[in-house]
Parts: sequence; C-alpha cells; structure tokens
Amino acid sequence: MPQVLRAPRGVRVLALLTVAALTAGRLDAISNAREQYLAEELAAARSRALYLVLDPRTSVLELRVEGFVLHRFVASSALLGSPWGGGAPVWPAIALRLASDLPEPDRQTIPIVRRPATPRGATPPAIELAPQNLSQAPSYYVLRFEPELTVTVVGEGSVFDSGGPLWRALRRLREGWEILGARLAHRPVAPNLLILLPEEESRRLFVALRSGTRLLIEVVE
Amino acid sequence: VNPPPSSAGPSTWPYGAAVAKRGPLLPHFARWAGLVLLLALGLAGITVLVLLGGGFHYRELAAVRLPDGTHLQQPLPRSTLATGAAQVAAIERRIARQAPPGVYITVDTIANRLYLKHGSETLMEATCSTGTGGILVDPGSGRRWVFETPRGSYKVLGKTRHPVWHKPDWAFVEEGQPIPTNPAERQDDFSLGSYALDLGDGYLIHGTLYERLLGRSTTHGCIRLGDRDLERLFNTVEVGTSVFIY
Repeated sequence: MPQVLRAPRGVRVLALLTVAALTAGRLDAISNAREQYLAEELAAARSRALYLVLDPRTSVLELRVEGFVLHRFVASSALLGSPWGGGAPVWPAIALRLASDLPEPDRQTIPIVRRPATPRGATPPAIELAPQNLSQAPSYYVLRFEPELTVTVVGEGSVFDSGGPLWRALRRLREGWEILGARLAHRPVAPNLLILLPEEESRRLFVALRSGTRLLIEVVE
Repeated sequence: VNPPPSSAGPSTWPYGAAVAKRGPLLPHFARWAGLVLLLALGLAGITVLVLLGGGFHYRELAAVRLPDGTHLQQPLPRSTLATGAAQVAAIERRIARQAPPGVYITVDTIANRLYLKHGSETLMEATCSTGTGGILVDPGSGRRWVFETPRGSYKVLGKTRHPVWHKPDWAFVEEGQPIPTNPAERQDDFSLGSYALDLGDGYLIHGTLYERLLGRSTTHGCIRLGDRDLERLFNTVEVGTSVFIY
C-alpha cells in the first residue's frame, strides 16, 4: 500500500488537497496559454494580413488570413533545438514576428516592344510577359523572429537537405562555431526551429513571407 | 632570479654566460611553423568538440514546453475549468466572427488557381493568371512599375459589365508608344472581357483575350479568368465579398 494511504486521515486529506491544487495550477497555466494564444490569433485575424500558425502536434504550418486557412505547409520534419549547455529547448513565446529583412526577389526587366497602335476593335497580339518563376525563391533560408527564435527552412532535395550525413555534420559544425562565437561575445543564442519541407513548398513559404509576418505557436485543446 | 651586482663580475654568475652561448633554439621559420601547428591542432580539437557536443540539441516539437512549463499538447479539461472554458469559447466565437459570413474568393498566385468558397466548401475552382513579378522601366522618365499581384485581404468594391479599361501610362510605355495627352485615347473597351470585379488600387478580376495563357503568371498584377468562369463568378459574388490573395 502506498505510504500516503497508511498516513493519518488529516495527512491524507492534506496530501490530496495538495495534489488537487498542483493539478489545478497546471491546468490554469494551460488555460491561460490557450487564452493567450486565442487572443493573439484574434489580433492577427483582425490585422487582415497573412499570418502563420504552427501546430506543434502535427508539425503543420498554416498560412491564414482573418482566421481562414489558405494553405497548409506539411513539414516532413520539424525540430526545435537549444544551443549546447542551454538545457531543454523552450518556446520563447506563443506569438512571434518576423524580424528578418527579406531580400527582394530577382525580377526580370520587361523589354519594351515598339509596335504600331492596334486599330480600334482589332485584337492586339498578346504581350507574353516572362512569368515569375517559383524557382527564383530560395529553398533554404534562415529567418529571425522576435522574441528570440531562429527558423531554418530546408527544402527537401536541395543541397542543404538534412537527409545526408555530410550535411548534418556541416550543419552541426556551423551551428557549433556560431554558438561558440556568440558565447565568447556574451551574446544570447536563440533556439532554432528546423523545418524540412518539400522543396516547392519551402519556396512557396518564402514567397508568402513579409517582414513583420506573425508566427503563432498553437496551443491545442 | 636577479643577477648579482656588477661589481661581482660575470665569472661568478654562470647563467648569463650560458644563455648568451645557447642562442636561438630553433630557426625563425620553425618557430612560426610550430605556432601554426599548435593553432591548427587547437582548432581541430575545438572542431572535434563542436562536432561531438556542439550545435543545437534538437527535440520533437511535441515535447517542447513554454517558459512557464506549460505543455502545449495538454488537453484543456473544460469541465474542471468552467470559467476558463467560457473565456476560451468567447474568444473562439470572436475569431469565428472575423470570418466572412457568405461566399468568399481565394487566389493562389503560385498555382494560378482561383477558388470560390462558402465556409470550407469549394463552390468553384478555376485556372487564372496573376502578376508576372517583372519590372518595367520607362527609359524616358526612369519611372518603374512592378507587375505583381498584391497578397493579403481584399474586398470586391465594385462590379462592372462590359468594363472599359482606362489604360495607364505603363500600357503605352510597354508598347513603346507615346503617352497620350487626350484621355479618350486611353479608353479600351475590349481587353478586359465582359465583366470586371474591382479590388481597389487599380487591381481587377477580369477576362482576357488570351485564354491560352491562363495558368501562367503573365499579367500586370490583375487576376485574369476565362470567360465562363468569370461569368459564373460575377453572377455569384456581391459587392463586399472577401477576396484572399496569397
């Protein structure tokens, strides 16, 4: 028989009350986190801008606007890492904003084709503008969110695909040196969210991003 | 060790004489080579340590917690937290109220697909054309235009049958024609097709003379649809319908 059940009645009651209080406290924390998440999503929905919601259970990143899901980015793998010596990884916050300055995509300059004006009522020849190609967007990129979170997006099949042992070793080496440099300079090191997406999806995600885009970490029921 | 006073003479202090006789232990280059070797070994050692224990230590997202220890995956027991549940439900209702009540349009600019939806139900799916993303520069004035379909949340501000396009300056620059001073010369009553939905800022959902180009990002920023799809869309949506472009 467990020790607590052999204890005097008063002690047993006290123990049960303590357990109940601790459980309620934990549940309160969950409830608060869920409330906080929903309040953040409400603010994002009201902004009328595109925002991202990450479901940590399924590693699915949803592109939403006004609470609507526009596109689902299904990650093959998503991991959160903390720097060595930093303990277990912890989400820095429920709501984050993209702080990176995204590079302007390479845009093609449209050539000016001199031609006579089309007679009224006649169909002019089509001007075939060179379509913007999704392959112009990167499939591997690092995004800095605030509060502190680094998101590394890796397209499957790209040279940075984390499937290979060589890439893993190189990545580990690069990260290790960066962390060492930051530690020596007394700079904080943000946790790193590593997302592996199908290559086209990684490019598509890049195209959808804007500086200031919100990223919400969903607190699920 | 301090040397003895000079009066004692060098013969009573053997160390100074020994040092003077020994000279440099290694040639100049060898000392540098040794230093470089030591540095390389140090770097290699740190590299090995970094490879073995450095970098980030990764965990599945499901195992990660918030700073207050909250586990994001924990189910929320509504029955035991009636007050909290009520607050959560209230916020959820407020988010749901953000959603447009009737039909709405979404446009996927990467796939060049347009969807007419009601809730989660798709009423219509069509191939469209969206902005090319290219740049046009006026060689005369240096003005530049970026032909991109803007992403975000919009509304149908107006509906027009047999729309007339008031050609902007870029339409003339692109064809190497002089920009007309007479507004009548800007009127074009055939390029936009039979219907147009105005999204504001000069962006429209309209028809096209070139249906073979549908499915490609070839427009100046507007969204082009084929005649039949455009007619159906025009007859279904009302002014005020939400349009989500991504």
